[in-house]
Amino acid sequence: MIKVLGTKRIGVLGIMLAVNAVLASAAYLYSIPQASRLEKQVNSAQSQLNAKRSEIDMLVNDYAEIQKQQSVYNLLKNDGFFTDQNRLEVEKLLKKIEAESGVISAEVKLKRGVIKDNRVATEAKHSILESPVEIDIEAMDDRSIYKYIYFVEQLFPGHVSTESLVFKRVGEVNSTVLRGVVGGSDPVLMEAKVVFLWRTLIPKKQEG
Amino acid sequence: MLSFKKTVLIIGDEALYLYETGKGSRLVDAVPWGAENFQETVSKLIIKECGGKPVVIVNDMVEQHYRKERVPSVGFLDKKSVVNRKLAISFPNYPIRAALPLKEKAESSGRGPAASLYIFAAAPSTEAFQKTMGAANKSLVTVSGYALLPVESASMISTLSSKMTRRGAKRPKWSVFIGQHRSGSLRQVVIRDGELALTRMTPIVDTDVDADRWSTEVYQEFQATLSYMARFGFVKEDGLDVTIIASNESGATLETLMSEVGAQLYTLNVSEAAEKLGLSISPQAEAHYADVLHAAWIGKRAKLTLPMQATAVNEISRPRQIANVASFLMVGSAAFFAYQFYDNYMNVISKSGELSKIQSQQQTLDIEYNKEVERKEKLGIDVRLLKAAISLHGQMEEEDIKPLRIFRGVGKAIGSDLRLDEVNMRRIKKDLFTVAQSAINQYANNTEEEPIYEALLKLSFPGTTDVDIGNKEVDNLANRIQAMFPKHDVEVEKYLKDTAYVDDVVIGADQEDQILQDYVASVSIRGGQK
Repeated sequence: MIKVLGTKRIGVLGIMLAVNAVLASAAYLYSIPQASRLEKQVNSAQSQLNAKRSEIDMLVNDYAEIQKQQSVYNLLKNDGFFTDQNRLEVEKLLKKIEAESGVISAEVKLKRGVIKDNRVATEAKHSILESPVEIDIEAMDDRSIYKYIYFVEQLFPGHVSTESLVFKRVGEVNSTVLRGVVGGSDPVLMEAKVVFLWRTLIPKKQEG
Repeated sequence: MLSFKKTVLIIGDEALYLYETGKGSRLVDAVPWGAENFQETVSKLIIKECGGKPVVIVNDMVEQHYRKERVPSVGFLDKKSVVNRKLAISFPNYPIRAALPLKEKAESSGRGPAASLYIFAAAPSTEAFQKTMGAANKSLVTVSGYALLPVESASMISTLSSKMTRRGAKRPKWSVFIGQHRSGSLRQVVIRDGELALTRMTPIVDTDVDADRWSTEVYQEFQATLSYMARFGFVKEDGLDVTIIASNESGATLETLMSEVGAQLYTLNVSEAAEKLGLSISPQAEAHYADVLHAAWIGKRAKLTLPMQATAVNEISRPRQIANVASFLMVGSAAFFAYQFYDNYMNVISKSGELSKIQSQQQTLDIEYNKEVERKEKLGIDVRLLKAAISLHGQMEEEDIKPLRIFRGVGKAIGSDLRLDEVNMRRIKKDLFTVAQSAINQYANNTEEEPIYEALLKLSFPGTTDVDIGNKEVDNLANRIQAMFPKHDVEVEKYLKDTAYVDDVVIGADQEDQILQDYVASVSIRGGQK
């Protein structure tokens, strides 16, 4: 074969083969994998950059949101939403409400508070404390009962929601009742039984 | 094969003639067969004088054999083996041989079925051929092929004939080309319908110094050729043109001599013929030598008409051609790899730059991020607690029944004429039944939200109330309440004197209680906050 092709031609072929091998190696063993690796790195870094930008945007929006919400938070705080339900104070308050509303009587049963699990509260390291409040009201008219309920809703520390309400007319306005009113007595013409649910948010370490 | 410039080696009976073809085709040298170091000399000439260009070897010797053969029509796949077999049978002692299919076909007749016609050609493997192959081998140049001069020149003669024929005139069926070669011999090539019909190589006087003598000898040789042509079927009516390469003086004499031949005669010197054929040849000292025309024509063509099958040629040419193709492919592949490398390397540089930029941006963003976190922390509040508290409080508010709002609406609906005796309001506890019931009601009444409470209103009417009027009042009340709370579900549960009503059954009651019950109606309200 050397005689036919000659050493020069074989040499040239050999050199060209070597050049091809070197260029192919340079391309397929270095530059192509390197380019691919860098592409992945760039994409990853770009994703991280975008994620960071989003986080910053969120923080900025959050901050603006928080500033807006802070006033609401402060209102809740002032409203006693984060208190641990001081029963003595509440009993005093209910006495005041009884007097202010004009009902004849309001028998209050402040039941034991129960810790309620809630995912949102748990994430903030807090729990919901729920205490049922049963009130039996006697009144001469329905307006004083409405006032009572209104004062409870407005003045109770934390959040109060009505669970049930039974409102009954138990007497009629007749001459006997009118005479009693004139005489200074308070005839019971309306009865109501209200069950409230009193809720506040307390830190987890305060449970029990 | 690409049409590169080539070196044409014409094997004559006396010497090997080297021609460099292309622009200004010229005779490089003539090396006699008996020359010392023949192969060395020719090899050097091929490399140095001819620039190492690919070589075409052309046989212009007297000893060439031709036969016109019929090859039966067979399938495409079998044709080659049939032709090779017939070739081997026709020229058993001539290993250098080849077959050229003719356009002419043999119809089926008494001689046999329809068949294709071929020219079978063969040449001996002479010492001259061996020496030429040795020189080509030594030179290491590519050997494009080995061919017979008359076969390769048939197309040149056909082209010249068509160029010489006057426009509009009918082209003759037969053409004869006559030219003296440097070996001294006179080569006559006869073509019929553009294909080789006959060739003769005969000795004549070396020079045309004596134009008359030269012309006479040429004329005589032509006459002999004419008689051969008659045997091949030539008749005057077919038409004949004769082109002779001659000097001007000899040309004039030949025109006189051949005036009665009855053929169209063209006498051209070699330069004129080259011009007609569009060939570029260097100025020729001898205007009557035609070899340079053949060499220039063969060198110009991309492909040989009939490459001879010769082992000696294939042994050299094939590997060199493969090496050339391999070199060409490797140049291409090297260029491709180089481009791949370059392109991806540029990509690497670009991506590296991009990555640096992104990393720099990341650092800036990290600083910004920390600033925002710090700013948030400086608020001094537990943001999670803030969000949780607002969310929970909002949820509690949404789920709150808000009895005073309901009383307000009911109060407006009742007005001053009706009297509410009892209101029983409670939160609906979610069990399967209530969920299903509320879904049905929502679908039926198209209410949007799930009810969170239900309230039952009881009204009493005086015992003297007209039942129908009373019931109408109850209906109207229900409608007014519905209008107050359009998204709530308001229904009359019990009408006055409603015997279908089964709630509040008074067992063993006296008549009075029963009558009282007859004048009590109840309306239910189910709904959410809205």
